[in-house]
Amino acid sequence: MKKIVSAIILLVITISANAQMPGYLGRRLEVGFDLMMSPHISGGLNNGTFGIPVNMRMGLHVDYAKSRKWTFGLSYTMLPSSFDHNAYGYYDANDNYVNLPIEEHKFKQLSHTIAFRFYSPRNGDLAPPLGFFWGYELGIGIAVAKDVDGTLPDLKGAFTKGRTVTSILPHWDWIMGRKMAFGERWLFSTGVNIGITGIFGGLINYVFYEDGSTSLTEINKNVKRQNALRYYSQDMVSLNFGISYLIK
Amino acid sequence: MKKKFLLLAFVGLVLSSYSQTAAQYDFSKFTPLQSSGTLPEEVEMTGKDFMSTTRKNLTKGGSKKDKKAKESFVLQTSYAIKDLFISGRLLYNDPISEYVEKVRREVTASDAKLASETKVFVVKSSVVNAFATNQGYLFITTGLLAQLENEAQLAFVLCHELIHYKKKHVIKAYVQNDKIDRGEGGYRKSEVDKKYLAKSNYSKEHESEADVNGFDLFAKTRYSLDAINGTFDVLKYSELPFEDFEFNHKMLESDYLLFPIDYIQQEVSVVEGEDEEEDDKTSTHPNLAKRRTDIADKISSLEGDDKARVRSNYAISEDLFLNARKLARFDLCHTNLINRQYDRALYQAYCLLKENPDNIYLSKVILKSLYGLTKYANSKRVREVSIKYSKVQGESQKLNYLLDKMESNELNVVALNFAWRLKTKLRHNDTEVNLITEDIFYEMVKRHYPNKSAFSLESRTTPVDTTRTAEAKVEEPVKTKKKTTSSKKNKDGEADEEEDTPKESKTSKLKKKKKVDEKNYFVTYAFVDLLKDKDFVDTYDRLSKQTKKDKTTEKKELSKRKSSKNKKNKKVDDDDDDFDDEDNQYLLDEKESVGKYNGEWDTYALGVDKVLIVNPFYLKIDERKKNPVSYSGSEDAQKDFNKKLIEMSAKTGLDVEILDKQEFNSGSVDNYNDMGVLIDWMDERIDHKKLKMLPTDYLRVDDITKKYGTEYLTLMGTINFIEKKRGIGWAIFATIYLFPFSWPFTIPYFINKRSHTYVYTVVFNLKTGQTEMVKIGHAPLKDRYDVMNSFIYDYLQQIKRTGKSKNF
Repeated sequence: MKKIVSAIILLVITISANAQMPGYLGRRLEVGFDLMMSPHISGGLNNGTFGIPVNMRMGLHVDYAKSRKWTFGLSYTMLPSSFDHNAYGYYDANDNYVNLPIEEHKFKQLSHTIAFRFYSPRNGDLAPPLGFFWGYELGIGIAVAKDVDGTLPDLKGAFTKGRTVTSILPHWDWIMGRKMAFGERWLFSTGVNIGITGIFGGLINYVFYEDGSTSLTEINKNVKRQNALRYYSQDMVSLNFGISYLIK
Repeated sequence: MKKKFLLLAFVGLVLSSYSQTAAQYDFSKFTPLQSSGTLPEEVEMTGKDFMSTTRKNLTKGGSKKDKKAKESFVLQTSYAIKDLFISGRLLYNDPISEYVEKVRREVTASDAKLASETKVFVVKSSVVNAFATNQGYLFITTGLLAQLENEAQLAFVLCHELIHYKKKHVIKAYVQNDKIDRGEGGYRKSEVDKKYLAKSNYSKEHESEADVNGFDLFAKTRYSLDAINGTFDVLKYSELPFEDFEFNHKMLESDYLLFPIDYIQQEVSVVEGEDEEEDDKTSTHPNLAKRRTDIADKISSLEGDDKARVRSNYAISEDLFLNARKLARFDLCHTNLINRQYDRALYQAYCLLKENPDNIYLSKVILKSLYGLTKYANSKRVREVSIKYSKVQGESQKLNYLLDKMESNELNVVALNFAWRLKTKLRHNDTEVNLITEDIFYEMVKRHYPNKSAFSLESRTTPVDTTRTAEAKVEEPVKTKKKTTSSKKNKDGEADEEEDTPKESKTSKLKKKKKVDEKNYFVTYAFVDLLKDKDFVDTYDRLSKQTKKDKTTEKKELSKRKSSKNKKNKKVDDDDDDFDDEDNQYLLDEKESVGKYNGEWDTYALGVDKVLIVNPFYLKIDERKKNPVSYSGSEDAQKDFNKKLIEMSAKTGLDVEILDKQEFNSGSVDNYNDMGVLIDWMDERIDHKKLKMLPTDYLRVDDITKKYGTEYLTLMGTINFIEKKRGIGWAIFATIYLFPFSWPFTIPYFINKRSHTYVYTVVFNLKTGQTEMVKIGHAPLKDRYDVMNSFIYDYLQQIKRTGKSKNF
């Protein structure tokens, strides 16, 4: 994965090096850092990022203004988070009820999102990358959650190695925002992302998710659902701030 | 001895140079008037500077609303006057201005305060007018100077305008008009027409006051009082040219080119001039009869020294007046050409030629007039440049009558006839005349007479008479008959030119009759002598081949363009009758931009290394304010804009020369003159629209391209416009009742200004007249520095880069 991303970045840089076309003062390739904030709406109170009830995703992006109409790019964001799953006990294979030592089982989650994005300007005749834009991001999210206390039973097939749950989820966002330039090479962007998969995926997982199940199979499914729900919930609506550097 | 000789020589040199500038202008070397020496301080003043001088001369007192009106007046007039001083239309340190200034000093000799507070400037304009501003500036047009008959008339005009200044009529009228518009006091319930009447009455009061008080000032001078009525006579006939000589059509004829008798108007209509007794209810000025009565009353009541004084029409110098007037008249010909008043320019040059025969400048004015008339007639736009004869008064009506009579092909032949003879007279050494003649010739060959066989080599055998009957009137020129494929061959196997019919049909007889009449058609004999001139014949042959080739190319291109346009419009029929000449030319013009313009991506790649940017423009408008135009903000932004242009041009590698009137100082006379020439060029270019013509000032423009090292003229400007918010009621409703979902939209709505930035760039080729690039960019954003940088960089690099642009 890393090799593929590096190759793409190298290719883009090569293309841009040969171009003699304008972007902002002739520069069309930007690399930047993003901070995305979204309301923490699942996973318990004070379980946002670093204890603050706001999810703060951080990431990097590379964007290339291919033409006046289209800009393409790659982005990577990550979010350290956590959630609790409530399970009191379960019925084993012999139909015996087994009490679990704690009720709230803590999971630490680290989600990664890799997306391909494309957007077009909404500034009349102003050449990108400046001004308003909107478009889409399409990619995948990888949410990895680890049972911190190790108190949930490790059923074969339930958890992955190291008592982790890994979910690979679709990511589709509607992105919009505005970029402004400072100096000759610095861009500052603000925007809003509306998570299409975030909203629908969150809704579906929320509907089917159940706390306090006594079936092991169901407990495992619900952990996975909660993993997905936690991922989707931070991707529903987010406010973005970014700073990027224009490479020639 | 040697020292005495040198001293005498020096004195003689000084005296001769004084008399050269003062009275003995060499009109054989006349060129359109330009400024010289040090430009006045007003050229360097900013709008804010003018505002502070304007405020000093405001009327005192008044209500709060009156004070607001005065502030608005100060704002608008200050910037308007500033623009006038750097417009390129005013003359500085030229012989006319110097003379008019002498007359101003003469009339203000009795009022030292008035003398020190006022200045007079000459405006290059064909309009017969003079006006004064609240700041004490008087302006008089070359159009008016050309009409005046003596110095005393000029003096009265100046006195009249001085009173407008002294009595502060300009600001009083503004404040009063504002009051009327607001419906204040007695005007509260007035309807629109009554308000208009009120404004007209107020204006008439001022005009009468200017006449009457102007007379008091005038009476203190040595000028003849009879001259005042003479001034009113000048105004009465101001619509006519400055002279009224009978127009002799022979100046456009030759020994062989003779107009038919019905082309010559025998008698002109009676000259009426302005009606002295006209109803002046809705006019800003009293009628002439009233004005004469007022002056007559004043004359009769004159007493004392003023009555006894010995008076004359001249206090400064008759020679200087005649010289100044002649300069104004000569220059007016140029102004008329720039304004495309070709009929007027032709007649005026004709009149001046009577006193100045063989004057090359005047002959060239006539040539350029004929050239303009020909080009416009060929493009079916002649009414834009020539008034219908029935609307013309005086002897010049004969010229307009003749022009109206001529078809476009006839006019073209007449123009070529004149052009070639002038070219020969100048021994083919005048570049401008050569180029114009070539273009007239090309037009004639391409549009009307592709072959010289259309013209007779022999003189006419029948006497000149009405040689064209109504039936024989042809819209199109005589064309060589094409041999049809169905033509029968005679015994020798040669194709017959005509189909044989056993009996002669009606149409055949009519065609023969037409042929006979066409033999007597007057233009047929236009070039009997010229067809013996090898140069003429060689040029004709060369142009015949060239036009044939051009026509074939154009036809192919045109049908290609039409069919692609039709495909776009999803039309089934390729033969689109809606395309007229101008559309065809437009389609062909598009062809010329291929390779430089990529329509699909709306970008250019001109491949130009250097451009001359003239008068970069910046305007800030805020619709939310009562006075939406922010003059001082625009002025400041303008300076910043220039800096950005230089900065961005360095980044793109495009060499840029900026000629900005806002940056002129007292030493910028050359730049000022250059700007004036370029503004005239642009005015002409815009008026011509798609018509390709050599500019009136071809030589001067050519000099400018050499001076600045580029033939590309660029106009660049920005308009920042802040819109008034609309739908505020709905926004408030949504904020309150649709909380919190509406807040992400309504809060930005309330906070953000609805700002728009428009940046335009137009690039002209000064040599070809071609418009190389037109870009008008818009962004719904504030004119932040990054937005401006982006636009400017984008457009400049489109000028600089080469190759077919597929992207950006």
